[in-house]
Amino acid sequence: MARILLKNLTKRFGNVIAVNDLSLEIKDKEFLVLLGPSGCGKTTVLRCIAGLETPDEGEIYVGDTLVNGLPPKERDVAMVFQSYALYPHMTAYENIAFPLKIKGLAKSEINQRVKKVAELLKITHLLNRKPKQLSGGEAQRVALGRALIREPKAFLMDEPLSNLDAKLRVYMRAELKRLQKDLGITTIYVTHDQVEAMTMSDRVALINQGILQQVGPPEELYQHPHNLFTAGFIGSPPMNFIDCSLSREAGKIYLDAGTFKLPLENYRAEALKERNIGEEFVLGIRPEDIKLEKKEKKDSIQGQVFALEPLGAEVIVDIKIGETIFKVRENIFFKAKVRENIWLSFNKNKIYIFDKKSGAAL
Amino acid sequence: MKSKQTKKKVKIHGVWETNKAYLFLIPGLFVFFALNLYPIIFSIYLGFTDAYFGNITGKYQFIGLKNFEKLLISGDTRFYYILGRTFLFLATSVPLKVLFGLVLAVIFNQQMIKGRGVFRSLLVLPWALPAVLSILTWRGLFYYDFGAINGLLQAIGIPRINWLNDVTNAFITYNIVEVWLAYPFMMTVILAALQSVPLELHDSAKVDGASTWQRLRYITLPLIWRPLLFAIVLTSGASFQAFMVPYLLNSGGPANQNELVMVWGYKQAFQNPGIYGSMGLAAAFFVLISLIILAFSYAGLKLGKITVE
Amino acid sequence: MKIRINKKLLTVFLTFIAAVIVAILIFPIYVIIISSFSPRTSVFQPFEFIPRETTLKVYSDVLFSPTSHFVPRLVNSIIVSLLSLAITLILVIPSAYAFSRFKFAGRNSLLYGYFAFNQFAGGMGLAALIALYAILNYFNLLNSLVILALIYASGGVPFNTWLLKTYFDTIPKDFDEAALVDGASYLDVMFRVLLPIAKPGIATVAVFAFMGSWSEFIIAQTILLSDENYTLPLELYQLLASPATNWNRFAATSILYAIPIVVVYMLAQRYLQAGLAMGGVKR
Repeated sequence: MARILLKNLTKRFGNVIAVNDLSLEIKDKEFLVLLGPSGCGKTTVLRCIAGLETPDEGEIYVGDTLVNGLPPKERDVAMVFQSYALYPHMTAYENIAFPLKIKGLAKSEINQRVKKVAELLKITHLLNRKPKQLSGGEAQRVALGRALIREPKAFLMDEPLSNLDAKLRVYMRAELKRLQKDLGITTIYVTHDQVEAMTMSDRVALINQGILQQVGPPEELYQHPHNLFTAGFIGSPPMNFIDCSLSREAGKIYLDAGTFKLPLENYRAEALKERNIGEEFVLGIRPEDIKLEKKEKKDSIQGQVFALEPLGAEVIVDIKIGETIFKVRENIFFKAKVRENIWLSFNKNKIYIFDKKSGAAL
Repeated sequence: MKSKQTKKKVKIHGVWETNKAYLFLIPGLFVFFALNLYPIIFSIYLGFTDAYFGNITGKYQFIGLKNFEKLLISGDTRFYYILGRTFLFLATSVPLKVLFGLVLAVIFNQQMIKGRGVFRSLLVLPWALPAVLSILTWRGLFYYDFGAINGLLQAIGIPRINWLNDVTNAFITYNIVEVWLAYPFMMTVILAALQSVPLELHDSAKVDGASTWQRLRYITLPLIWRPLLFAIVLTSGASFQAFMVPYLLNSGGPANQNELVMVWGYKQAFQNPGIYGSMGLAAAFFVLISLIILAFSYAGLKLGKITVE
Repeated sequence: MKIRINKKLLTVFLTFIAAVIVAILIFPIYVIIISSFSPRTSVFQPFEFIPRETTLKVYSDVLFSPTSHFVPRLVNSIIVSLLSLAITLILVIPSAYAFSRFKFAGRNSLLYGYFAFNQFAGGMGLAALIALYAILNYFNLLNSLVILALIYASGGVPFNTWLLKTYFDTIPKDFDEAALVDGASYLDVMFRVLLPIAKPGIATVAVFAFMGSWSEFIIAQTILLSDENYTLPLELYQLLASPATNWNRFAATSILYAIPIVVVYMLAQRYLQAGLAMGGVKR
């Protein structure tokens, strides 16, 4: 069993709380992505698991072993660094062989295992080169090889793809995912890129300012965000938000955004039944859940075309409603002129409501 | 100088070709040549003469290789003893300096120590103070009757030691003072080299399972041996030429038994006013010594090139 | 929890060890300082870490007593060091300017020659001293403070030229060109354009030149023959070499000798800061 369990993990640097009471279980053979903006603490979590940082509070389990206090070499985890951390004075072969050499394995066995790993990663022809003679992608695969060869309980990866060019990154995303599935090793992957998170992970753990926001499969974070931050972080272009307050008219509940009033139905209306008039909320709707009409329709909202961003297969239309800009996804055949009046229809089933103060979803 | 005569002026990226440049260079060059370069050449010549205080104003004569014969073959001088003594000094002081610099660099590289900045500025003091001051101070510390060291020993019940007038003890004092003067350089070089190893390499090695010793052997040492070796060669060259320490501490004593090469040469030239041919002999001696120094410098230069790449 | 306590203990322990090491290494300096305030010449009989009696009498003896050679030798040291500093600047500034701004036959060889001399010639110094003594003796120029200053300055030409040249190289040649187009001569450019901007570099050379002269012992001892021309390093040596070993007197003299060094360093720091602030140089 190579699951990893974090219990109430807290780490401070001086006055800054980098990781705040974080509890998380990573299942055996799972590919879990630690996602979050820069400085949110995700790398710190990874380094705590590796043993490079000591947590101030909390427990870390690798498998069934409590590893708090154990030095990195006794935790049986392998780490791939953002800059690959290849030893510049050793060849690719020696880099990959290093962990085995440390253990004192026989030369012949080391040779065998290095060759096997090199074949798997298709870098056999590079084994005699020194790191400075390798391209970014090649160096990264050597770093992977060095991690792979140990057959550890878990892989820890710290933004390994961020130093690659865009095309290579896309290729490596698929490669890494395939490799992980084939080998079946638990992997914790840190990144700030939500596209990587969405495409590669079994589950995503979203972190902001050291606090775990939500854990779950990527679709779940996308469709059912638990809070404002998650809703706004996941999805590109991001969800549209607008502040509004509760109002009642003729027995119906409305969300009043100043520039328009949206009537609520079904369970949404139910959820807000107990609330007071004037309470503040945030309304969220994704760009693909808005439809644009040239003529007014029932419950549609009027706005003005602000800008058009054609993307080949579709176009992102920026609509100005009052002071707020809404982004809407339309297919490429949609035509409109800037400053043209236009009407927006929200998909009633895809409206998200968030409490303004707590950010929680309703 | 404000004449606007047309000079041969061709502008290439802001650098002008012109003969004016020589005018600027000549004062410095001339003085340097007259007072530093020419004397070196003249000194070599003196090595083949019978110069001494009595005839130095002009009546000395060319005597061919007689001085060299006297030094190398005749056994009249203690040439080989002096040379041996100096190499012995090299063999003791260089490893000590390296060890000291290494230990200090490693200790003061630890991030856990508070006030590292203050410590490091204090540690550099031996390098910053004038050598005359430091060495004479140490001499005073080593005095049998009045020295602080013997005073301290007495206070804790240990009998006083004759530091400066015992051959072996004096040799030890040379090493102590030299190490005290030289460790800032070693420490600085090694510290810089240690810090040039990216932290991530250490992290990676830790995760890969390397112990502290293994990290030192496989990661740190391979990455710092070049600047380290360079510093060692430089220090060796400097140690060979040690003059101030033995001269100021006890004039190469007791009874001239600890004269290192530079001290012997200097005393031979300037502290034998009545002895015929003493300066010529000293000059010849320096010619021989210079060959050894050149060997050191050459090694240093070669290593310097390797270090840069 | 257990790990956290260990780390804190380790920090305290290591810092303590570090402090002890530094204290041991600084011991000689501490000794000199307390010795200079001690009323008795046998300062360390008995040994006291913190002296029970202190006095300023030693300092006043050194400075004012009629038997003390301190003041005249201080004057000599100042004369030599300042003179050497001045000569150095006169020789080095134009040389550095030439290397930095001009291209001419033999430039690279000479530059390399200066550089190589630095590396190799340390040991040759004593050898050259013999010849130098002979030459000076012949021209009756021994025992002269001015000559001493000249020798000091001359010895520093390669190093200081190379140092200043490197500094000049960082100043864009645009300034020179602007001035030349405006009608300035090369001399004007050097004095009015480069010099003001290069103040930090010149301060550095000045400090090296001054410090080198202030601290130099061997050449001074060889060239200077009469008591009244001796410089401070020689005074220090004599104090200790005389049979009546006045250790506390030596200590006080040492401290006084060291003060100008501290002062020059501090002045140089401030000058360097000011120079960097006002230099209109964009990298």
